[in-house]
Amino acid sequence: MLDLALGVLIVITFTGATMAVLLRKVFHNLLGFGLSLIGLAGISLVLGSEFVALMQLLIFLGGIAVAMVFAVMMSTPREQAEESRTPARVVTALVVGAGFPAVLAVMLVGGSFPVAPATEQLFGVRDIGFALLTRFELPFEAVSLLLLAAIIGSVAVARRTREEPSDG
Amino acid sequence: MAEQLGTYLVIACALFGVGLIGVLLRRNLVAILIGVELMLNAVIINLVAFAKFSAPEPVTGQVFALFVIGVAAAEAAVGLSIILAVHKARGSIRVDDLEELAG
Repeated sequence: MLDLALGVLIVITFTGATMAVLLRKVFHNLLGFGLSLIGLAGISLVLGSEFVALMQLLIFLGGIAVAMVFAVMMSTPREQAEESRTPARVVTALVVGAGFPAVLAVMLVGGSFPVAPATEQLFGVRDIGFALLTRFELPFEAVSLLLLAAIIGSVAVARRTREEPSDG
Repeated sequence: MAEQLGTYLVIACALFGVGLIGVLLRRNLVAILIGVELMLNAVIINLVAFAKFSAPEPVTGQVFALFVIGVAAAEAAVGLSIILAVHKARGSIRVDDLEELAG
């Protein structure tokens, strides 16, 4: 049963990821990206991390993908949707993008990792919250600072060029 | 299949490769950002899989995955605002048009 669910999720994820990478119109890429995110959240769910799966859906699909839709609507004119591809670029991308993970996969499958006994009781939201506010307090605060800096920085970057559009 | 660590590592590898192809192949800045996000998602799968199968404390891997999600959100926010700024300044978001710094 779990195998079947995982197989379906893998198909969804890679269909979406292929659409996100290979299609020529950016809006279609975004639709594929969203599909792939749904599959990825499902894979996290199969792995037993419910909270991470929910956060993936909420932040990636609800935040990042929607922000990208707005960016595409504001920046890419419809007639510019097609992009040219030289054969050299396609071959380079395919060789590097398939060769590097192939080498990595051979190494990973050949290697051995220590296997811990399954401990189901530590997977709940309660334990994650407890860990975030005790052992991982400092990184937690650092990420909140990073997010604040990112918000302020992105507003500043997006605003500055609107006032002087002819600069550069 | 669903109870083996190797399955998820191979999934993450393949997804990382798809994202890498996207970064190398595409010339639209938003499409490149999508490729980067796919690569970050591959990393998240790895962290969650190791948290389930190989960590003494499963919470640690999930907390790391949450931090990766937070950093990805920050990266997307800054990246998209840079894309909008480039579009306002140049009227194009194709990387081929942004080559002042290329030797």
